Amino acid sequence: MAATQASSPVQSRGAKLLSSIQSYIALIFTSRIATIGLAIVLFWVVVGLISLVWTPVDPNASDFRPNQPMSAENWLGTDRLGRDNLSRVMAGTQVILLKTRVPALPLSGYFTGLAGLIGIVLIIRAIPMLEEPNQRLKGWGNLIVGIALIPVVIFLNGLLGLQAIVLPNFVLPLGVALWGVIGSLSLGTVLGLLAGYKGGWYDQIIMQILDALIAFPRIVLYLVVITALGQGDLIMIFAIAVTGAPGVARLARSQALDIKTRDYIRAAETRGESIWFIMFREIWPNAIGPLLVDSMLRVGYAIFTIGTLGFLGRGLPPPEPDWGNMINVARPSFGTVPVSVLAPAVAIGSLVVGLNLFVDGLNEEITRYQK
Amino acid sequence: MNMDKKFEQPVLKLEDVAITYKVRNGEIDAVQNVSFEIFKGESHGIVGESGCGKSTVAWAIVNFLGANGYVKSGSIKFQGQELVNKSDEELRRLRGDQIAMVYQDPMQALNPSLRLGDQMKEVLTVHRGMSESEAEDRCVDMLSRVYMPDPENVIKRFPHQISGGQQQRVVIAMALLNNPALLIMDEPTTALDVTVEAAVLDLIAELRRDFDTAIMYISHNLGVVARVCTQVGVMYAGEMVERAPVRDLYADPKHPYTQGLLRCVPKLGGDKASSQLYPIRGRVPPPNNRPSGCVYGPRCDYARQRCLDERPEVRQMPDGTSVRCHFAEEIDPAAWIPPEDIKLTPATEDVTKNEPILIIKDLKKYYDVAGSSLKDILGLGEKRKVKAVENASFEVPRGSTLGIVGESGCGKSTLVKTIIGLENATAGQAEFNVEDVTFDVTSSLSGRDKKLIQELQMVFQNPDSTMNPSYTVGQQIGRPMERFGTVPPDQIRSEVVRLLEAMRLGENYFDRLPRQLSGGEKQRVGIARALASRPELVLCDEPVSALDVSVQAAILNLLIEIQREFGTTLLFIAHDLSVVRFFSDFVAVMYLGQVMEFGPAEEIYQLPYHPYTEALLSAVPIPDPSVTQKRIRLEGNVPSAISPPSGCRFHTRCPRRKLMPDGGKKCETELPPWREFNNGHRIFCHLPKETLESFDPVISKAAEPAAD
Amino acid sequence: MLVKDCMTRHPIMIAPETLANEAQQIMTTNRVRHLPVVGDGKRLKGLVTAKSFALKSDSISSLNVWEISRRLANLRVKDVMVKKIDILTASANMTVERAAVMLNEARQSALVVLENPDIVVGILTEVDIMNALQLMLGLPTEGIRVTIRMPNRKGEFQKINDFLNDKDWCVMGIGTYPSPRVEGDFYDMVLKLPDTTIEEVREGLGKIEDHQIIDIRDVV
Repeated sequence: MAATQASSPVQSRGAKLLSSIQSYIALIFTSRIATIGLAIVLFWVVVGLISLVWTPVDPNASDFRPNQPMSAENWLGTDRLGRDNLSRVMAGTQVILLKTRVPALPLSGYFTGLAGLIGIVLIIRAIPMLEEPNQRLKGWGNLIVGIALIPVVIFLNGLLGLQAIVLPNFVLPLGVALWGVIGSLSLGTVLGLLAGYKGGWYDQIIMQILDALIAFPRIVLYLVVITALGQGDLIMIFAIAVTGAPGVARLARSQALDIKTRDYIRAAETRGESIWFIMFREIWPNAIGPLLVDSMLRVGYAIFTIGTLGFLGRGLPPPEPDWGNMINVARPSFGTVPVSVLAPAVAIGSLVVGLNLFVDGLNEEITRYQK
Repeated sequence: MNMDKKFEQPVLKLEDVAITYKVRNGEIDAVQNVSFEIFKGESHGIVGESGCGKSTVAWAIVNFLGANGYVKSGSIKFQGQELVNKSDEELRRLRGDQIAMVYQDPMQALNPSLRLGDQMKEVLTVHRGMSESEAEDRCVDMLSRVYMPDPENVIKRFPHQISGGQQQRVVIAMALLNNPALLIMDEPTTALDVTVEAAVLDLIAELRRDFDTAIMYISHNLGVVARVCTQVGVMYAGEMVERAPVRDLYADPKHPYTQGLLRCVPKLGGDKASSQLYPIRGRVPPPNNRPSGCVYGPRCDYARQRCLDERPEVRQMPDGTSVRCHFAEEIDPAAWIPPEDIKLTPATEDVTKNEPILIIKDLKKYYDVAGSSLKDILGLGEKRKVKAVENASFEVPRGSTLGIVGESGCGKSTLVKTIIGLENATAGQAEFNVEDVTFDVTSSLSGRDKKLIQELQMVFQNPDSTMNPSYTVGQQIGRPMERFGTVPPDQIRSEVVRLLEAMRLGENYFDRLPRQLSGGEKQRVGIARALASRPELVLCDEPVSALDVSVQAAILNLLIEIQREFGTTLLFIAHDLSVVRFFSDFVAVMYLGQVMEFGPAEEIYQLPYHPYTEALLSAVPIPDPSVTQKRIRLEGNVPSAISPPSGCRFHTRCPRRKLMPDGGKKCETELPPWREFNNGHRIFCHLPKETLESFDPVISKAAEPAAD
Repeated sequence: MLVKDCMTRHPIMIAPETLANEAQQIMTTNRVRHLPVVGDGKRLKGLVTAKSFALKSDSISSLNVWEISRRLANLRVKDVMVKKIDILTASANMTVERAAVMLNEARQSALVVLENPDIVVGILTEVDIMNALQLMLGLPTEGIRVTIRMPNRKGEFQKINDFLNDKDWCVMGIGTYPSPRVEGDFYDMVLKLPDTTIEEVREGLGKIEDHQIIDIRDVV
């Protein structure tokens, strides 16, 4: 479709995009609930952005007396180590919404990870090919390459001495909660669309595995992943992505089941399009609406999860403050300095409620619009 | 009782009714100034295309307009009592006792989780306090009244256990249980097959006489209305533009819209060469943007300045019809000249003698059915098959059109899906010849050569799902060109525009999204997309059955034009025999997976017929009351395709079987032979050729042909 | 002819709560003289006739003008209707002559037709019975109406029948009754014969032994 896109006037495309964005914004503002929700979310985003450049004091500096109540100097009091709660609550937004800290890793780690991803894609691609007589050979090739990729890469890593080269740690934009949801959205969509569109054994196998995942208590899953792999932003993202994927996949599957009965899918099939074209160019654009709404809700759950894990002492690693951890630390002195517990708790609660309000309001408006 | 009407008061009388819906930004006048009356024992048809307000009128009568609709002005009088502004309680009582309604989809009116008998009895026991056993007797009576076979057993069944036609009979029986004075029927036969429809229409006509019920019959099908109604009102854009006794309306339509509609419908009465369809130009204005003058003005061939300035009032014509037109007296439909842009190019060459492009031999398609017994679940039970297509054989010459007709479930869609590769054939050969290369068409899509895939394309039935809502028209038409590389990438846009123009859509459609198009326009884009890869064979799966008649005419003309221009071969599935006749060079009639008759289109519609074709022809509603059809009705239901009848599959319902020696024992046991007639016309029947030729023609014209 | 064949089906019905005013208006605009009053499920509750609206002097004598008009305005159908027990009812399968006898004996003008057991299916008024009479005598069609007087004994009708058979004529209407105001035992028979002329009829039927044409005319 690249050709047709290129040949259509660019200006009108941009204008169209703008007008569609405008219509979405107008949609948000028609619902009072969504507006309130959006305001709460934006408030926290702004707070986080400010905290990147300025906080009243350094959030990690123990400059004050410990366990102080609210005062003119420390608006929200201080914690057990004499750090300013206000600055810490502000800075706590960063890891959730604004930045992801990637630790120093040897180059070989990146390569192996990349190889793993390519391997998974190849294996998934191979499966439908095996069914079709004239592509069977290609399918076997893909499968073998896919499976062999990781050991080969590990071997090559050793051979090239890539382990010795260590990349320094750096920061990715967008927070852990957002990356986690993006992960579960991509993983869930691929699996769900595949299960829904292909049906039959694909559906059975994929959905049985995902249902088994759903059957586990969430918190146990998180703890298992984190205990096994250690604490870290990337690991938290992985945990959120894996536990969220089954829910997304179910939704994507139901969408695919509905959309695949439409005649335009038949038309694509009679054009001999590949299943990936049909899944991602024909089905996906029509299924994405509900999936996006659902993932916005999932951002809320992810924030909640990070808070819970932080409270259990298994959350995001220091030095950046983590709301859940703040509650945990302040818990023993709740009787004397309740504000140290309440401030981060209100932060988590309001952000999650804000997101929920926003999504609910938006969803209601969209469905009304469809009628 | 034939009492004079002037002493009688109408059962239902609408005067200047206007119905309005409140919407987000303002109000929409759905219906304006509708007036008509229905007398006792009369059936009043209301015809019009979708969105013209037919159903809205019906809903207003039963106070079913929903929360945002209301009758803005005018009066609706039922038996002299005003219905507008009546209290809900009074309306409810009237509705329950005196007015009954039958909808298009019988499953809407039947509760799927209740036995039919219980649902029917409820009407009598709850409302009328009748005793349980008495109510049951009455229900059984009523069911046998509507010719339901085995009514004592039917009342013990659930709705899904009986066929669609039987469901509609149950609904009609339920409506009649209360002996209503007025029966409103909203497209009651639209969802039914043509032979079932014919039987239900017969039933309606009979019940009207027996129960002296006034019937308001809403339909989009001019043929159906011609068959059951005594008076007809034509609605257009929320107004009733013409109202006349049924014969006058069809023989001498006064309003230009009625004339236009009748010119849009393919007729079974005339012969193929002379029947040209003339679509009405333009489209129905949306309710919020109706013209200030005559609503039909912008589309009318006779429109003058006055029509655009001044809204015409309903006027009584000398012969008793009423018309909403300024110049109805001056308009003579006989003097109508087709507009320039409708080409009347007759076929230049006889394509029927061309070498075949598609050869199908003994094609079979069986589906496995999953049994529900424990044995089946364990995989030990006998594998059962649905025999969807059985031994289909035919040839399609290059550049011609093959029409495949049959009722739902006859396997016509499966046959086409097998040819295009959406389904794998179970057995048989199918060859496709293009550019001196022969392809085997029995393989699945993924096993097919890219060239073959490109040469076979399909047009779909449902305009709303034929286009992907996420892409523009241009992108969707351009995609096949890109995929098959038929056009260099930098010329795709100009090629798409050329195709759009061939579809009579302009370049400005290039960047539109499907939701901005009407049903007819979507279907045109669907055709353009199918043609984009320059295929040799296009399979059309009921491409016009979901469209209004005027749009349908335009699409059919378009397809014919395209075929002449590109030389494309067409395979055309339809359930409407008149459309197929108008459109096809060859026709295959299918019943229960079996091709029953095959031959050139003219031969199929003339003697000799296969008994099934004969029944089909006699069931087709013809929009011309002067045409008489032989009355042949099939009994029983279509047998299950899992265990089709042995021998001839039609023998269980064949009305001609008794002509066979010893009552047709042979039909039950032996597969019939193909009886060959002129021009490759063949009939799959045991009856000898002479007998088949001795039938009377089904359709005969009683009077002089109408002036058009 | 049975009641179900000549009754008025789907008569206009009203609810007991309807205002008497409104009922009166319905009767005038629809030109009907009887309105069955029904409850849920078209079950008979009463009957409103023209007489129902007549003021009964004893009930209003003590009231002044204003009170009367107010009272009238609030009057409901259930206050003025003939109660169910006082209404003549019939089943749809009753013969029309039996219904006529009932109406005659009760000196009433309408009969409500009910089925299982009190659901209104129609109404039979004097007008309907007159209509039935018209139809029996073949009024709507053109033809020769002839009245023949014959002795009341076996085989007389057979003579006419044989004659009609010979001529291949059809009969559009027929009716017999004991001859009025004559000595002896005679019956008169009215026949409606289409597609023929007065002369032909006179020629044919007039020649039958013992029969006498007492009236002949071509009517529409």
